[in-house]
Amino acid sequence: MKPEQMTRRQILEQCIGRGLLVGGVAMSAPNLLAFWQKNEEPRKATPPNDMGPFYKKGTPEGSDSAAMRAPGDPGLPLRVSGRILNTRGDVVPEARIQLWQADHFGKYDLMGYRYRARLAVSREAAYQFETVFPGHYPDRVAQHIHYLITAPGHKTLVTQLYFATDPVFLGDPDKYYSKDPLVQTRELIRPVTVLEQAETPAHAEVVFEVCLERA
Amino acid sequence: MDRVIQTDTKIGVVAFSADSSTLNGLADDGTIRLWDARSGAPQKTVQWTKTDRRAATFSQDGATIASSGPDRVIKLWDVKTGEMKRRLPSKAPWISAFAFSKDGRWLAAGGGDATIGLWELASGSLKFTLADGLGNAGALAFSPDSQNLVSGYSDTNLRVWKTGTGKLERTIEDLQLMQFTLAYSPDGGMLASGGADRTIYLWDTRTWRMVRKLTGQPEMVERLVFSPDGKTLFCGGASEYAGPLPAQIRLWDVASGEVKRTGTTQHGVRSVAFSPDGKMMASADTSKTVTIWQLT
Repeated sequence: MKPEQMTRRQILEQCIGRGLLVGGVAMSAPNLLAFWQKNEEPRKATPPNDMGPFYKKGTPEGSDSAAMRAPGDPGLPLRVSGRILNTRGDVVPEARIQLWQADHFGKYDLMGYRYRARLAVSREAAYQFETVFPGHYPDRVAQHIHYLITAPGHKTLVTQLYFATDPVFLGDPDKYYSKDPLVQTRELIRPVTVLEQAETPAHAEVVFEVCLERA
Repeated sequence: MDRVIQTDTKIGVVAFSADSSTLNGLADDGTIRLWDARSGAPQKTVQWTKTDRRAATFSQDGATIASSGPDRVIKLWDVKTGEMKRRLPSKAPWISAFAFSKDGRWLAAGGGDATIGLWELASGSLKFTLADGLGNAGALAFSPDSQNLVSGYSDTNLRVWKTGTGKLERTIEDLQLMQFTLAYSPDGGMLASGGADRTIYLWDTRTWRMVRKLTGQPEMVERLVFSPDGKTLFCGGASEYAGPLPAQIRLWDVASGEVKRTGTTQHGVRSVAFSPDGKMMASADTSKTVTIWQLT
């Protein structure tokens, strides 16, 4: 195996084997490894959030990008992109993402698979999808996109993405994020950038980098 | 004659008294409302709780309410007085659904952390924490002999648990969308489930095979309850479209799969109940309306 193909765990095991990582007190190799890894977590895991009632099985699998928005669909065009990392900061190229959201009018497609997608991230663990801002609907206050992320060796994450521009947050999500009681944490609310480029019509962009806990 | 009761607050859950004379309703303003089941006339309003109404559910004998609030404590209330009888501290961040077993031994509490707490009511102890699946259990139902508990999770799977051991007995993975409501037939031989795909599924509880699909409900299947004789199934719908829209109630003949009766509620149904004498049904919808449907 080439050194660059080694996992962080394998590198640490090699360090222990070569005496480069040594326990100052009598400590078994597994305990030493666990201690080091526990205290080496540089990233905080993305908080989980409610799965909601409209997850649907059978969404067709796509590549690392998806066009959920069809030409002519009403609503403000939105591009969401990001990477899937873990708490050690490693990219997770094996991750799979399922997405589902309401359309511009706040309606989920229950009979088909509009505004639903299943992605396999790229080798750099990147993903991207084209959509519209989800509409508001009476039982939920804030606009949101549902995520279900799975990856071998990591805990499955069910969460939601929210938007700092959502009127429900009154322009100050730090203060008003709990206006929707299901939001629960400020961390899932992301800023929105509006772009207008020569080759693409005006659209909004949001970056949502997700950090998984290791199993 | 059917009775339409307009209230000054939304009613979340309805249940008839054991003698079928009274209809009890849990109101969003934190009161328990009692109506004469025959005339629909208000009888009494009991102060209950404004803060701890989440997932409120009546016990099978109608005497107790289980509910939860923001403090992670499950509360049990006396229906007659509205007073708190018991506090059960829970680890779940919030509760999505409750169910009482018919023998009064168990309370199941679906948690927002994808677990189900199985509480033994006599001792007030958490006997088992059932953990399998994603999201939360939005629907729970005990078998009439209290030996099995069925859960409907956000991940769309139905799970059958043994109450005596807390073991997962079976996972039914055939469904594409979440089941919002579960109802056992009184003899325990059949389970009805329904949810977002506007279909009622009837399951043989010996084999856990689907034996029939009842289709044609114009909206999502929100609530189901069997008649006391098990021959009919009462279904309340709720529109999946944004906004408060009318919905349909349907009375299905279980043996033939035919619709015996339909009716309309002003908005989506939140709760349905059958009177123990089998002569009335009740529905509560989000328009502050309770309807008592007469069968005879």
